[in-house]
Amino acid sequence: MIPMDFSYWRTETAEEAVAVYQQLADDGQHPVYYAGGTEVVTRARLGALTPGAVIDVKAIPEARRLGRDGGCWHVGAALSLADLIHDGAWPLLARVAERVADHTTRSHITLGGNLAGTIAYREAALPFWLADADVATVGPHGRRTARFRDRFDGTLALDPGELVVSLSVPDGVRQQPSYAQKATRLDYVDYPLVTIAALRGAEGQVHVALSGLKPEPFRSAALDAALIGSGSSADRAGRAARHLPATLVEDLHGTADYRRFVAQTVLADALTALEGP
Amino acid sequence: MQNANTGRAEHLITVNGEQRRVSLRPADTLLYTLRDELGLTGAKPGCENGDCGACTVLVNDVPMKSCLLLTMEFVDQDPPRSVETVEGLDGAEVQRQFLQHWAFQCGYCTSGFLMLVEGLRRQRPEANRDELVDWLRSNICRCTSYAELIHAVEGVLERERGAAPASDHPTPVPPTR
Repeated sequence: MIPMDFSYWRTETAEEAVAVYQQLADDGQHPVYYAGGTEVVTRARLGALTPGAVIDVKAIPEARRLGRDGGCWHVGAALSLADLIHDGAWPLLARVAERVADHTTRSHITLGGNLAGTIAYREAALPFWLADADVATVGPHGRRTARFRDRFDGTLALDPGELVVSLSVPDGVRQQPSYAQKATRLDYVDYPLVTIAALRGAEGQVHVALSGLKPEPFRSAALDAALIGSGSSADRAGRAARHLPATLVEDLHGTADYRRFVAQTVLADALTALEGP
Repeated sequence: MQNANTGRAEHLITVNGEQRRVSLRPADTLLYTLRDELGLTGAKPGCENGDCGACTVLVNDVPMKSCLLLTMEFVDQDPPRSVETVEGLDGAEVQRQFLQHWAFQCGYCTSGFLMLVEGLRRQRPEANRDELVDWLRSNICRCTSYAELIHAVEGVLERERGAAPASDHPTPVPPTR
């Protein structure tokens, strides 16, 4: 049961949602956008989030878009991870998404919520971070489309009141060889020790993004560069692992040293899968 | 655009095919509207964090955790979003299979598992063992009746596909007490 009160707004366009957000924020209502609810409801129940208003954005048609157009695959931010897995148009995204939470909860969690929320792992961001993906938003200053990687560095840089509406990925990227793996310790359904997403680019180089190592997802040009060169997958993963963050998460799922070991292992697994041993 | 201000107000919601009037706060979750306003106590509060699945209901045939849903998402909608609880099953095949296979012990998680498996039957009757296990991971049985649950789900899906239930897992003998 959620102990505090808030008002509820169901909006039909992104501009309407942003205007309502602005008005409520100006009135001191501390509004939040609401989609799947897994973060807002659970945190509000604990008193960790105390919105004065929730703005439901699930019914906005462009945030429910799914399909190809103009050489890109477009996906609305209000679609659930289950929708994206069922669609299957981007195998890398589907493989990453199908290990987030559990089967039922993936029908709740939306793409936009996973990317823009405060829960740390944001695994759905990993494929978009690796691809030449674009993110479209609407905010107080209007519409904006930008390269996802220019606005995401572990967290998505959004202005107050800016709403993620959709993402798009070039058709060619979706067909590139890819690999994903989630390593957990306590149970199959669990937060990650390490989740890796890897994409082999047109030039043959493997790029990786990782979740679970830091409080937010991680990738590094130096780590990607160290994956190139001679030697076995294990050798190159060992060299690349030197470019992992100096300080890693240490919690009941695993020590920092164990996470480093698992990260090196999944790096080698990714190279083997995409290039052979 | 629709909005509801803070405080309690009356709204219309459709549950188990029946339109009902409920009094609720915008911050009320579907779980507590079902239980406290409509007397449908089949949906159980467990973790209330989306982990245990004891509160699972069907929304347009899709299993969802009612502790993670605001009731406002379901009220005053045309056409209504269909909410089904275990009370709406009323002697369905899934309930018969759970009984036949003794797929429960204390029973607290059972209504959530029944709704999950009913959703699986409707959406993925061709599901194989790996897929049904993936669905079952959404719910937790603290009594660990998982082997019996898998047998019951296989029985449900075999019935749905028109096959006679497999006989490689004999019906457990009921306890004598």
